Amino acid sequence: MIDKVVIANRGEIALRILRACRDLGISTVALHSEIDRDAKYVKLADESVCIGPASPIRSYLNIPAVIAAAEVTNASAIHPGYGFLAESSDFAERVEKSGFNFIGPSAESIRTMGNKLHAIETMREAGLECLPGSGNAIGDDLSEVKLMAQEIGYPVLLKAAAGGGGKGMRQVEQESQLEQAIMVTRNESQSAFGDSTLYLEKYLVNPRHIEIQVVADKLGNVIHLGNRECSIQWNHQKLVEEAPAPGIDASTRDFLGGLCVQACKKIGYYGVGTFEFLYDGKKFYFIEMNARIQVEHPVTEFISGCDIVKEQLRIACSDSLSMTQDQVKLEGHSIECRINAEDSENLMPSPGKITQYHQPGGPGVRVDSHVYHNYEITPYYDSLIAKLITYGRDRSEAIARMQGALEEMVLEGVKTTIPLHQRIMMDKDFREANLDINYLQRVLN
Amino acid sequence: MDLRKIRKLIEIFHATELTEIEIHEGEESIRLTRGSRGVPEVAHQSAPGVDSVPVKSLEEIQLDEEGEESEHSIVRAPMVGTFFLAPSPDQEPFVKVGDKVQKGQALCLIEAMKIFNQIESEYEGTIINILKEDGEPVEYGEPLFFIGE
Repeated sequence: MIDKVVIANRGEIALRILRACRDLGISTVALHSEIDRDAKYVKLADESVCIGPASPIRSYLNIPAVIAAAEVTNASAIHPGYGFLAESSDFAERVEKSGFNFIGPSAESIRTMGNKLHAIETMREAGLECLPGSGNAIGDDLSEVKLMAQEIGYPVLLKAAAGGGGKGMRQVEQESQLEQAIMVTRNESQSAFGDSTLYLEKYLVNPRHIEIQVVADKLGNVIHLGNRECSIQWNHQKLVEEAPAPGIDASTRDFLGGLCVQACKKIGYYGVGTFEFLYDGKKFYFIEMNARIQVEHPVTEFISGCDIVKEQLRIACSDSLSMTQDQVKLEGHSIECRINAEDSENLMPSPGKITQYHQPGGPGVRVDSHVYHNYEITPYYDSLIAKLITYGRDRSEAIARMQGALEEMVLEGVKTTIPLHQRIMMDKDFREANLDINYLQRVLN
Repeated sequence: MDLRKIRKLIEIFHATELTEIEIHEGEESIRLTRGSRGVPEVAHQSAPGVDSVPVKSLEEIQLDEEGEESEHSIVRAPMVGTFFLAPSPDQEPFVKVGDKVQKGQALCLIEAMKIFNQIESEYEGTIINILKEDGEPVEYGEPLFFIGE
């Protein structure tokens, strides 16, 4: 039983969690830094607690402060959202040890998935195909590593086991680059993640990034909610997502989804999660799993009718999922555009005050946003202003609605990604779904 | 806004314990405040439909106001947690109003995650006011003590 949830996050996801709690009659405590004190979503919560100054390391990433806030407010559970502490197994563990319910997977699952090498090993054992060569840490013997790379075949990708967010990976075209690449990536990984374990995998030239959403309760029920296309990214930051992934037929989708469900059952996973795959047109290669709610979850909510954040709360309460796999009906098409405070030309951040704000609406349009007129986008946190999500009976209707919504939306005072989204929606390759992970690079050039 | 309306508003204002009210009607607006000082804006910033936002106590607001001239004399909570005035329930409080304190002298404890953190005075002076009760929760940055000359 959960009667009060501490929302250990900020921005749109804090508001999203608040809404789900409100639907279920659960009271909320908004945690905030000094600079977020006056944000409207904070005031929508039943209670709020200031946990530190603007700097995330002293507020949203400050584990003792978050737990102390749960203590002083007598809350029963903590929702970490995404980012910040969402994938810290230490945090999950300390939350549970302090007597609170952690709304997310077990600390053990988070720890396994947080190390890419362990995640690959685990999923390979659970029956998923992974990229050739991956799964073995490289040693200090350079000639051995060279042999490994030859077997995989160049180009190869050198990756940090503890890496994430696009950091700690380097493409290696030929053997002569290998030694230096190892040194640089090792150092980078050690300083960014405190771990220098590296591994190699086959570098796919123009793959698509496709992911499967899973939802698993603590009673052993696991379902998948189909796939998402997330190929439109830059510097490993996704910008446009859609569900379902275009051109993947239902039987292929369900086969892959079924493998993910089996893998969850095998490792005793509970919570929501995302299996990420690279798809080269023939095979889906598992690359990593995100053990948390994802930014792009609304596109799946649109096509499945499932409220994923509410499912998270049900799972934390040890309730069973609200639907079985047979009851999951995936219909229509949904697209999400991330409206960031970034320059559409080069995606450089553009913090500042929003001087004009108007949200679009109409059938099949959803806006998840915490901002309002005169809201200040500070440089302390990420640049996400709003998630604009549309739904249509098919992909072309979803695109048409997105074009209309982008046109209706008014956002002045900062540079935004709206013009870039408008270009993408008009782009022939996008409209024909000719997508791969280098698509956005080509559009920006 | 006509005079009768304003008079009526003043009557309503008097009948409540509000310290400030501001009403906008089209182009016009009226703001009523009690006491001599302007009070920081609170009410009209909240989102529509929000009512239970904890508002600062008048005491704190006055403190903030005075603090503008002598900011150096407010000891604020460096962390979120539970405020304790004494090292343990059966002992005397660290300090009470009227005590002289030195820089670095212990003033209170804040408990966070079962750890008791001793909070020391950043200033030398006399305890003018203690703004929190023993056992009360405190947020980061909340004023705890007012220390004067």
